[in-house]
Amino acid sequence: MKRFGFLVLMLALGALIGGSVGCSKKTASAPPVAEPMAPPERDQPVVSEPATEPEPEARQVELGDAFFDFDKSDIRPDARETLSANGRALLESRDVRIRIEGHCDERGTREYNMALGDRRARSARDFLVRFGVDPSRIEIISYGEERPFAQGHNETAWQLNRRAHFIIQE
Amino acid sequence: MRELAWIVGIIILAAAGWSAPARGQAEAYVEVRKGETYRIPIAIEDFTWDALDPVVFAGRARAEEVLANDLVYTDAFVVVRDAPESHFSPSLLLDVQGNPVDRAFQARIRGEVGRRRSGLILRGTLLDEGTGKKIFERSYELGWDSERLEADRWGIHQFADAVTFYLTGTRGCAATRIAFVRAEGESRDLYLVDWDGFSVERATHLNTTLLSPFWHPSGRWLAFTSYHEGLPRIFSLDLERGGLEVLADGDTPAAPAFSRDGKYVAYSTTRDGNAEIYVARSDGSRPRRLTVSPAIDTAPSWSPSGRRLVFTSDRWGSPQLYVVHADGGNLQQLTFAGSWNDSPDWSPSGDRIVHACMIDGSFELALIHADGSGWRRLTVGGRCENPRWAPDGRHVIFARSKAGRRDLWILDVDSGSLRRLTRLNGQSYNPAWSYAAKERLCPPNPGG
Repeated sequence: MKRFGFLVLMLALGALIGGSVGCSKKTASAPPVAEPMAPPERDQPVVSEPATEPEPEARQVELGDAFFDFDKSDIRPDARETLSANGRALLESRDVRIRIEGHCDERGTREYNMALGDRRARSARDFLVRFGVDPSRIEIISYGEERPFAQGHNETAWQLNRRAHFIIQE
Repeated sequence: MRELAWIVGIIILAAAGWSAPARGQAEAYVEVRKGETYRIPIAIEDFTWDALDPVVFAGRARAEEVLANDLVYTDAFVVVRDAPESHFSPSLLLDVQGNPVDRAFQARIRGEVGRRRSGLILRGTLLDEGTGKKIFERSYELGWDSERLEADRWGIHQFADAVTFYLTGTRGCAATRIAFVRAEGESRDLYLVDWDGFSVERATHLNTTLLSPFWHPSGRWLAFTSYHEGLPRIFSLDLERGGLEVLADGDTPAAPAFSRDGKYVAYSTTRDGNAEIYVARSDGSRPRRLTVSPAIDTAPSWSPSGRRLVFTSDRWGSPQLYVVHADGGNLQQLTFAGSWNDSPDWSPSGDRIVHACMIDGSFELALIHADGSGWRRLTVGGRCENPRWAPDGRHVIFARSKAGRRDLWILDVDSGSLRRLTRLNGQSYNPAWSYAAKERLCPPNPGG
């Protein structure tokens, strides 16, 4: 009887040890249990920890407008400097696409100014392309005299409205 | 005061017939012959009302007043109301504008308004004053606005046009419509108005940059350039059914102009790298290039025959007017004097071209013969743009800027008489005058 009792005790001990080993294997393969997270406060973004070194902030591309003489689309010396700076900025930020808007002052008919605005936008685009900017990154549009920047009826306002205006699209 | 001086200037110029030399002479103006200003005296009797109380028309006007206005606006008549038929004494009579009548009447108008099942009917009669014989008698439906309790002016306009045609041999343009662009703040849309300034209706609700409307000769479609889809496109608005269709897109299409037979549309596009004139079928299909030049070619206008087009080009430096055959051949420069000649419109009779020209830094209106000769200045100190002929070939509508706003004005190029058409809030410009219209159309679903 004592012998039988000892055998039962050993079997029970063996089962306990075996079960214990089996449990330890399962524990090793399972993902660690995450501690419960407090829900983020409303309207606050969840900020994840950076996995690597932080990247530098995206470069801010600033492009200046080029201005023109009355009924002209030739690039003036001052516009040449502006467009050169624009070209350098675009060559440094090759993922940037732009739209060039051609604008005119109120003198001249609306129909003619549509064509003149187009010619100014093309003139600015051609300069940038010669500078090395990929033409597929540049879209042009003419607004003629339809969307003036300045509302006056004098040379100060007219000069402000004769321009190629640069817009960054992405 | 400046307003008065401007108007006086126009009248003086038109009466004196100032003109500039054609082709390159430096001197500004020389005198040309006086324009035709004879007006036919005509009497309008009070209308009779068949078992009806007299109704008022739009603007709270009487029927006879609407008719008198229409006839005065033709600049072809001296109109007297309710003239005593058998006791005519010219020295005692004043016309509806307060001027003494110095000639005997040549015709008399009677009107009788009755009610039919379809509504109000005007039976209009024109009589020869000398013989008393009936020249014509016709019936016109008068629309009724049950909310405002006033009759529509359109039927009266049709009667006025018939009177004009029978007495002058020229089609009247009272029953026509004028399309124009109206800008309020950043919003721009197409509007329609009758020639007497009434029945203003909004034809689009696009709220975008929009310009250069042009009528199809059928009166059913209006072509114009719009940015409402982002890039500029030429659209055709169906005034009968509503809805827009693209006539031309890509590369800054602008300045559409239908041929007089309605089969073709000319416009400018920069698809070849600079603005060139293209001609397509009136639905925009089968476009073909008409001009070849590294310059700006734009603002085309067809001759009545459809064989030639006049357009603006700066191919020799400054913007000037050129004529080209519809097959692209026989290019001819029409204007040489001045720094800027633009916005041409070929007259319905084919013998004249009205256009805008820059004088002392501002745009004025001028007239030339179709061969470029006979330059005549029409306005003084006005900042005037976009002249467009009326179907009568005598009047021109244009936009005039004054004190920071733009309105539409109508000028009789023969007599020099001038009247302001619009007094709306915002800016009104870019007018286009329809051909003769059978009915007043406005799209049921504006803007499509």
